[in-house]
Amino acid sequence: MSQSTIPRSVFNQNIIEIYEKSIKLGDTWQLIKVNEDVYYLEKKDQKFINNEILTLIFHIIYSESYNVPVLYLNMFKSNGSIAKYNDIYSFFNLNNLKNEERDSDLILTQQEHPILFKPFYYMHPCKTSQWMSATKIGENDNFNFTLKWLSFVFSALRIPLDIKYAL
Amino acid sequence: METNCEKDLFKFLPFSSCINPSFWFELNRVKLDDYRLDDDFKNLKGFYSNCSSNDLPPIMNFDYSSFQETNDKTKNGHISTIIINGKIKIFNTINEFNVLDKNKLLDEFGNAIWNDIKTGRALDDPNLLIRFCLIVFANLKSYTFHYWFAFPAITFPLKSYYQLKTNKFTEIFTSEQSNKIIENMTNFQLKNEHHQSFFAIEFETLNVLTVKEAIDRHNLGKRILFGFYDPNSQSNHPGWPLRNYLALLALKCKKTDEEKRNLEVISFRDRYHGGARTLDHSLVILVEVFNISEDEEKVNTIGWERNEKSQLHPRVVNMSGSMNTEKLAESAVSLNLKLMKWRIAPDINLDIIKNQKCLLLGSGTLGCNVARCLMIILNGESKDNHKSIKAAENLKLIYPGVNAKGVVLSIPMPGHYVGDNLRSKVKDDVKQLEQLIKEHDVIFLLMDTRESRWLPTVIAAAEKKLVINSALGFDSYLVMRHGVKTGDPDKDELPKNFQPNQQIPSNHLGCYFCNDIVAPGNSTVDRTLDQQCTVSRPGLSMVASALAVELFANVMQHPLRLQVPSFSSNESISGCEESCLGIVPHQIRGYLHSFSNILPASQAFDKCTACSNEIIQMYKKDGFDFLLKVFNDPTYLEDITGLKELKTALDQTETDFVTELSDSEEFEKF
Repeated sequence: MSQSTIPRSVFNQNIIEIYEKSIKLGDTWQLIKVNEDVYYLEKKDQKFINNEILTLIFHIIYSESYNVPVLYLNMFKSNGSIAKYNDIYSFFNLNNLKNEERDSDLILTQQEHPILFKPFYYMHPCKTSQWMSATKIGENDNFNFTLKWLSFVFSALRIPLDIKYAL
Repeated sequence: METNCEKDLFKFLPFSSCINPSFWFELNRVKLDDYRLDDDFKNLKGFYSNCSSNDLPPIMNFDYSSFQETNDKTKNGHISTIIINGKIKIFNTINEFNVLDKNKLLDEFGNAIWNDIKTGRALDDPNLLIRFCLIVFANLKSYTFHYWFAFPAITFPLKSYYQLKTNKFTEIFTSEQSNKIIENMTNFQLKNEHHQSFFAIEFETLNVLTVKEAIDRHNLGKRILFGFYDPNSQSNHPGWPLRNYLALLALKCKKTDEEKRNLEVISFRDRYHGGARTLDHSLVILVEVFNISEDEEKVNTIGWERNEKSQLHPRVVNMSGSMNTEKLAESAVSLNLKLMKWRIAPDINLDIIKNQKCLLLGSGTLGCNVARCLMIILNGESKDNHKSIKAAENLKLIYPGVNAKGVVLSIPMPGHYVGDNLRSKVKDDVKQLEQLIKEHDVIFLLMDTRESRWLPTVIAAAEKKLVINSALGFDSYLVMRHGVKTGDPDKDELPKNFQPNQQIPSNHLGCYFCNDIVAPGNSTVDRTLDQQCTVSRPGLSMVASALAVELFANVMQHPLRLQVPSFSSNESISGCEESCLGIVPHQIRGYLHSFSNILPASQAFDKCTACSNEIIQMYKKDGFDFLLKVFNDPTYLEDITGLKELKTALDQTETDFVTELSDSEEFEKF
């Protein structure tokens, strides 16, 4: 049975590792330090769709109450207006989920960002420990919990993640 | 790849501005706290990337850090974000924003660049060649922003640059050479305090030089390739920064006898591909550059950004959806309800609750807690009574979208004498209460005395409104819904034979006073303070008020709504009337002492002092005159309902009961 939750110190180590790999791979994750204890990862992505520049921002933040990483994301147009629910849902193809799939925490809801205090979308972490413990990959202690979590979350949202992170 | 042999007019891809929402939040703050009425030009920073993906136009990004002093972030000598210095002017009125001479402003910027080129400042610090200007009008109440970016570039009339030949980087340099250049570039950048967007490569040595050095060497005849960090990764067209760079080179590079000369330019694209750093996407372009001198008569400036419709107009963005706290609160509440609907109770009808008008009588702990609960479930109106104006204000603080109004009024009560001098005021109060009850859909009775509930009960019964009543003891509470008559006397007539375990239709359900054989009188006389104010366990009012709201929700979700019947048994009977949120009991009586509750249902009492037919008819017939008699004479109610007779009858049979219960003595029957 794999680990289901991690303490903040492990999370911090995890994301530092991911950040260092990101530099080597030429990926664009940024490590942001809020204070001595609080760090998070940020990635920006820009796409040109329908003659419009769409910017996506991903934050990987530690959830103190659930003891797991949480994904916060935002999507906005070039004039700074934040995407509405409908736009987010159709962008990530979440509208066509059947009810069972809906029950899993693939739902993105808008929430105040815990560090920036601005409206962001996030994936509720209540079920994270459940499905993390259900997987068999990386049962030994050395495996990067956050990286494993990220690979699941990103593949569910169909965001590419370089396979070389696992090496 | 194609190599052009013909002369092509140079196409420079302009910047597209891209604003992060945090930029608007910060601008809002900066204008309010720092700049205030100062509408001079201030420093601002923009960011562009050298290694964006292939299908993006050249983008200059702006976020909250644009307002701060930021430093270059170089990792391993590779920079992904290049910082550009520019200016922002935040106007105080939309008029000033609109009437500003935009051409003149752009010319000023252009002339400043041309001056820097002429004086040699741009040679010492070539980063000055890229700059931007932003004009903004911010409506800080409606959170709309009018804005317009300009990326000034100078042009000379009748003179153009021509793209003679375009080669891939790999066609000019081998991979070994390319790696050497990467190494040299890393060292070059490390020597400078700020990242250099403009540089040159000496072909012979592959050294990376400053622009100044490079021009000197070029003028001495060395083969120099002038490079710049290209924000554009599309096709064969270089990005905007090249324009001003070419102007500098046109002036400072050695001139020939002909009208023009050819220069080699590198559109430098330093990125990672497959985990390795590469310059393969870079271009080497042969440019035909005209001659210019320092005393050029006219220098034009171009660079206002086109809007979404490709017009030369400012852009407008409405950020109220993200910045207006009212809208944010509203969407949070609405989301909570939607999630309930999606996941848990798909049949729930959200609109029905939303549109209810609620009248809350009483703004003590019960009143305030009910109000809070209601805000979470509805976006409708609620009116409080007594201490209520402040309560309504506070409600708005918690949830700005609530439509709440506070009303101060005294509810006259049976047995509380109304003197002549007070008569007209009390009449007005009654009228106001009648009006309020008529205007609302549901009445919550949350006062602290029994008798104060009498009048609203009567009025609401006459108006056939839903009443949710909540009362507190020390450690017990009652939450109930009053029966609602249909108005049809046949239907409303109470059955003579009441069976327990049967369904009681709504128009036969009892009210708060139905179970009492004592008329409400002045209960506050002759009481000590602790008896006058209900002293309750602290958690009680929260539990009772929450249940009151949820009972209301269950009633509203039931298809029969106000007419939903109740069962007098505590057990749920299969097939019993349920809404999608659950059963709809008549009463909930709870006991903190045992953390339990029971759900009794009782039929109305035909001699009830509040909801019986007699009372309602008399109220409808005589109105205030009837009410006045009730207020002034505590026994009046008992007389007219026939309670008095009932009690007399009971008194007479009382002895019977007592003697029957006693074993030893003989009794006499009357």
